[in-house]
This record gives sequence, C-alpha cells and structure tokens, in this order.
Amino acid sequence: MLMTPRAKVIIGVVIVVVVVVAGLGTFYAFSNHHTTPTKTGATLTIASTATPTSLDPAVAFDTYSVLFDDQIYQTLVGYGTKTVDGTTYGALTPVPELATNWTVNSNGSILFNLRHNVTFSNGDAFNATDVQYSLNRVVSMSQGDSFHVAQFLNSSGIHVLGTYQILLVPSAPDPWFLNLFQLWVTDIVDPTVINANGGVVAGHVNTYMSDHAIGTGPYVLSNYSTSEIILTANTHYWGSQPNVTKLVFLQGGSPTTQETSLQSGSINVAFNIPLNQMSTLKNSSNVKVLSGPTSSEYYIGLDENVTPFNNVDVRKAVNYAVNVTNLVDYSTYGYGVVLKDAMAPSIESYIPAFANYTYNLTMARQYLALAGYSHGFNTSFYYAAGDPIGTQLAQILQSELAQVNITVTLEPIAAATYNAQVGLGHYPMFYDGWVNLLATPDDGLRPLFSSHNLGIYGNYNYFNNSTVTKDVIQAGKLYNMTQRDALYENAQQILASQAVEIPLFNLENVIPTTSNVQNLYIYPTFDIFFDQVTVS
Amino acid sequence: MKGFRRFLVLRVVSLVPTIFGLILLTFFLTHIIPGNPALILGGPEVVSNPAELKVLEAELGLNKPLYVQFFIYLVQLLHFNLGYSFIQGQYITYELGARFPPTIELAVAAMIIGVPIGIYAGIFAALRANQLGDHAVRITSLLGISMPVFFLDLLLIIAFFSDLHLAPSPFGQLSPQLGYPRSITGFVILDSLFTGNITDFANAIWHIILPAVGLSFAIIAVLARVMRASMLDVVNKDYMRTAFAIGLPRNILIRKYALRNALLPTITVTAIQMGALMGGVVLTETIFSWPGLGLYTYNSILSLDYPSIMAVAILSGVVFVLINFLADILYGVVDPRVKY
Repeated sequence: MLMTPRAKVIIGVVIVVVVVVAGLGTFYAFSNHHTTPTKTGATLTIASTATPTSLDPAVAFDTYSVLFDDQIYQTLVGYGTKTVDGTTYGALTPVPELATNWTVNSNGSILFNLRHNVTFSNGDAFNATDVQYSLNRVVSMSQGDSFHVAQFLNSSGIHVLGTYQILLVPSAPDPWFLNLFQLWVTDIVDPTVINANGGVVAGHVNTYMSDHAIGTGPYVLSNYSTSEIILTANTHYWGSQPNVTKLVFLQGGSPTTQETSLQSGSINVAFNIPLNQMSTLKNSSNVKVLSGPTSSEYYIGLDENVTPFNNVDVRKAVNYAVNVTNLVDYSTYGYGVVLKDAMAPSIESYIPAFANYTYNLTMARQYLALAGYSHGFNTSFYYAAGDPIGTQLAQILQSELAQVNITVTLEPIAAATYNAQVGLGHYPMFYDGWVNLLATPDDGLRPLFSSHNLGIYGNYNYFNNSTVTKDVIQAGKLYNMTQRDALYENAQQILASQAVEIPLFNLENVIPTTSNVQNLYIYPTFDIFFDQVTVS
Repeated sequence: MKGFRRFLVLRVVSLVPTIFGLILLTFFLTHIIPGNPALILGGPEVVSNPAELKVLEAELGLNKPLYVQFFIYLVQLLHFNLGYSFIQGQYITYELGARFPPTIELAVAAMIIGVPIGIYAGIFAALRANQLGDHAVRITSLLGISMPVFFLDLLLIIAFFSDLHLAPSPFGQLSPQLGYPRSITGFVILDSLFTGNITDFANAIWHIILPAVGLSFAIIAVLARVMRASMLDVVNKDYMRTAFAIGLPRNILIRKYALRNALLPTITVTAIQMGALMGGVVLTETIFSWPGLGLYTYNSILSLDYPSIMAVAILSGVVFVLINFLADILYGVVDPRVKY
C-alpha cells in the first residue's frame, strides 16, 4: 500500500517514540534488576494470592490477615522457639512479650507485670489500661476469633491493679488460660486511635481498623493498597530493630507467577505454591523449602444426621476401607503426617486411639454386611472446590471405597458456600480441618465433638455422645493433669470405638523462600514473625 | 448539526432507562441466587441461632420487601455509595475506585497496541485477497482467536521474563522496590508523569507491555478479520472499481474512500472489545497480579460477596453502555451518510 510522505513521517515518529520509551524501560529494568539479592536491613518481598480481610486483630480470622497482626501488634505473651535436629522451629512455649513476667494463681487467675517504657508506633504510651481496653473490645465486638476469649474472659475478670500490672481472672476454670494471651486476637491496640475513629460498638466491626493499624510491634503499616501492603521497621519499637527493615507484601499473584518469581529471585517468600511443586522448587539452586509441624487436624467427616452414617458399623467399615497412608501420601506430597487420633500427636493427652483401623477390606466388608449393606451403597463426598488437597483425596477416596461397593459421587462446592453449609448436616461425607490454635486437648476435642457444639464451630459430624461431652467439658476445667488425661483418654477411646470420623493427617506448614532468607521459623499455629529474619 | 444535537440529547436521555434497567436486572438476579448473604456473613454462629440471624438480616436490610431494598439501594447509588463488603472489609466504592484505573490502563494499552495493528492487518489482507499475505494474516488471526489468553500470557512470561530477562517479574504495575507515585488521576503511568517521576513512569510502561501484548492478540485477531471482510466488501463495490479504472491514485482511494466506508463494523467491534476489557480480564490480571477489576470480581464471586458482585456488574454494564454511546457518535463522524 502506497503511503503519502506525511503518513510516513507520522509513522516514523510513532515508531521512534515507542522505541525510546521501550529503551528507557529496558534501561531502568536492568538498572533495577530484580535478581539483585536483597541485603540485610533492606527489603523482603512476600507474595500471596490472598488479600487481608481485616488488619484489626479483633476481626481477623484468616491466616493472611493474622500475618499482618503478627508484625504490627503484640500480645502479653509471645511464642518461643525450639531446635530439633539442628533446625529451629517456632514453639508454643510462652515467652515474655508485653508482659515481662506473670504469676498463675491457684484459682487459675494470672497476674501480669507489664513491660515499662513501651510505646505504640505513634508514640502513645502503653500501659495496663490499654490491655483492659483491648480485651474488653474483643469480647464486646464479638467478631473473628473472639469466641476463644469470650468463653473464658469477660469484663468483670479484668482488673487493672497498677499502671503496669493487671490481673486476669477466668470466668470458668481453664488450665490453659495463659495460652489465650498468645493468640493474635488478644493483640494490644491503641485506645486513643480507636476512640478517635469510630470507637467500639458492641457486635460491630470498626471499619477504620480494617486497613489501619497502630501497634507496639516491630513493624508499622506504611502503605495499604490493593496491589501491595508495605510494612517498615517501627522506630519506636522497644526491642531490637528487625534486620529486614521493609516488608513488601505483593497481593493477587497466581501460584504459577509466584513460583516463577521465586525461582528468579524477584520475590523472597511465596505462600501459595501448591505442594506438588515443592519437589521442583527444592531442585532450584536459589530456593529452599521450609516446613514444620502444626497443630492442625484434617479428617473426613461422617455426618451422623445422614443415612447410612448414622450406623456405627458403616462408619467402622469406611475407616477400614480407606488406606489412609496412601491417601495422605498422594494428596499432601509428603507434607502430611498420618493421624491415628482425632487430634494431633503433639497435643497433650493424645493417644493413638484410631490405630486399630488399619487398611483391611475384609473387615470393611464384614462391617458393611453387619450393617445390612453387603452390596454397598451410594453416597456423596463434599469438599471445597479449588482446594488441591481436597480434590486429590476425593479422587483417591472414590476409588478406594469403590472396592467395597460404596459408590461415591464427588461434590466440589465453592469455598464460601461450602464453609457456610458444611455444618448444616446435609453432607454425608466431607473433607475438613481444624487448626488447634491453643494447642490444647480442650481446643482440639470440645469444639469438634461436644454435643453442645452440634453443627457449630466444628461438630459437623453431629456426633452426639453424652459421655464424651461430659468428659471433654469436665477435663477442660481440671487443673490436675492426671485427672485430665484420664478423661481425655476415655473420650478419645469412645470417639474411636464409634468411628466418629476418618482422621487423616496433620498438615505441615510449607513455605518456600529464596536461599538467602534465614531465621524464618515455622510455628504450629501458622503464625509467622519476620522480625528475626535475616537476608544474607 | 441540529439533527446531531437532537440525536445527542435523545441518546443521553435514553441512557437513563437503560442504566436503570441494568440496575434493576442486576439487583433482582443477585437476589434470586440461592443462599442467604446473612448466613454467609454470619457464619456458624447465626446458622443455628435464628434470633441472631434475624438481627443480622435486619442490619443488612434483608428483612424488608424486595422493592424497598431496591429503593434503598437506588438512593445509595445516587450518592455513589455502592455499599460495604463485610467479607473484604472495605467500602466498595473505595475498592472500585482503586481497582478501576489499573483495568482502564491495561485496556487502553491493549487497545493502543491491538487496534492499529488489527486494522492495518485487515487492510493488508484485503488488498492481497487469496494471496500469501492474506493467508498469513488469516492464519495468524485464527491462532490469535484460538489461543487461550492465559496460555499465551504464561508463554510470554516464560519467554520474556524467565528466559530472556527482558520483562519484569509479573507482579503488578511497578517493581516492588519502587514506591507508587502520588495519586492524582489514579493511573500509575499518568501520575508518575504528572509528578515528574520518570523512574516510575518507565517502570510502569515496562510492566504494562507484556499483559497488554497478551490481551492485544485477541483484539488484533478479531479486528483483522472484521476489517478484511469489510474492506473486501467495499473495494468490490462498483464505485470503487470505477475509481480504480479511471486511474485515481490507489493510495488515496484506499485511505480516503474505502477505509472510511469499511470502518463502521470495525468501530462496533472495537467498542465491544473495549467494553469487555473494561469489565476486567480475570485471567490476565490473575497471572500478572494486576490489581484491577477482573481479579476483584473473581474474588468476590468466590466468596459470594453479593454487594461487590452487584457493584461490579453495574459498573461494567454502565461502562459498556457509555462506550457504545460513544461508538454511535463516532459513526456520524466517520460516515457523513449517517443521518441523525
């Protein structure tokens, strides 16, 4: 096509402009190249597909939102560390944080002596009234994880004895009362900031606190946007300044993007790479994969509201028919530890009560015959769509149960709908998990198996047994460990004899990072603290 | 001109019932989706506690008759209040205000790349009908339409980021080491230019190239085919053949006469493409971590965040209606035969 001279000039100018701009971009790209390793005192870049639902510790309930609270806020009592075979992990051992020491009294109350000369990142002084305000606020707002606090603490149990002294009295006997004050939900907030921005309204969220945060922790919120959140070192921090002074949280990236970027070094930590990619990442020279045990308990639920799982023989049959080791290995790619009980082995009073349910098709068929289902039956298995572990184990479960003539229809459900419906008693079989945040047998058994919690907070199996209910409630109030153990062991034996569920695995927390990231510890409760991280 | 002014007024007036109908349809469709938003929001605590459920429903206004809920929603919309997302913990107006500019930037960049190339490719193919050049364009066009955008995006990332190190890490609009420029327009490229931040400007251009190129493939493919068909139709008309036969300069004939007559269908298709891009492209935004409307929509749907879903549907619809309105205006500019 012939062009006029004018057209040629115009096109030529456009081409020159495009080339210059592209060249500028490339120049700046290479001068700011992402493969330059970060140095100590510089930036750690973290990628996640999630976005925080709220930065308010009284509202946050998802792992990603809590991640920010862990950096910005602090609790009275922190988490310690432990070293096993040369590897350091986070531990639930209580260590001083905003409280320097404490005394546990015979009635279960705790007297905390608070740290002096601590300020919030805006310079406001921290003292005992801030603790009182924060705890009252959590209970009053009744959001997020407040139920953990509300069941053992109310306003009448909070006594300010001095500027730096506070007495907390449980509203019910609680041998693990101290553990509550390690949870992010008990993070100490600045009353001045909150009262100036909406205050506390019972039963309601404070919208200002969703994307604003003023805490006593090692980091402050510097920038909050849809694509990234930036935390920088808190210059008012009472402790040692963090080695990494800037945390950049990049949000919304796909797992594939995270994997590519991690391997290239343009991000340092990735949260959402699927477990099946970990073996590939381990082969990368500049990536390492950190993993550590958690207090999680994943299981296949058997809803006793739904026939035929109201029959204990049927429940026993499926327990014998499922090769749990096989299922766990293939769905968690080696990052799941097979569970032989309804709670994790690290939890006090644990016994391997389900150990007798070994993979045995003959026993499975016998129990099915006993239940009158010698020819099998049809049922459905529900799980959250898009959950890679759930998807994998659904397919394996389907093929394993087919061997005993149990035809399983797989029902992946959108996550939000699944979470809203799973406790309604309509799902005959389902895949779910529970993170035992307090790492106590009370938090591991009572929410999931007490008949007071039918359909709420985890008793999705609709398991209704008065002995178990009595035992777990009573044990949770005993300060004598021997007496506690006896009751919990009895409860666990009943759970096993009733084959209440199919315990699957305790899932490790797996975090791939670039090799130059050091001192990133994995905690059992999925908490992560970046202040001790160094980048070599 | 009088006719055009009358047309303009009538079109603007007709936008009102169109947008009203869109809001009405979106509202009622969202409310007939199975599931109670109060149950989703309240979680297990309200599921088994009817009294608490009723309190939450009253707070959310769900206990009112549907037409009352609609009226309240309409009044809020007139105040530009799109509601609050309890699931995402943000006012929706704020979220959309932050997410729409990146989507517009990406859409405009993709159009800037795709439209001229697509139009030129279509003309090129039409003027070489059934020759090698035509076949090359048609095959490329077929590839562009057939290839899934997410696959193309991943290929581009592997080639230009992983292997050749020419593209930046596919994370958002700027490299993490750089801070965002002071927000004036909400568009990172423009804001960095207005604030004199050349580093951010160049970096933002660098980041937008790959996702825009990925999106432009489909635009080029569609436009090339439409333009080719349209041009072939026009150049085979009697008056064009006569003009060629008379010996008028080919270049002038193509540019001044054939192109303008062939552009009308292309304008329509371009407007449709632009409208679709403005609604957000989920896959591209997910892969490139582009903080736009598509990713927000995807997350809202996954979490059954009804207020957000409604807001995005309305916004996308309004944008689509406006773009098509502009396309109607453009018809008259391009083709003087169009009478208003």
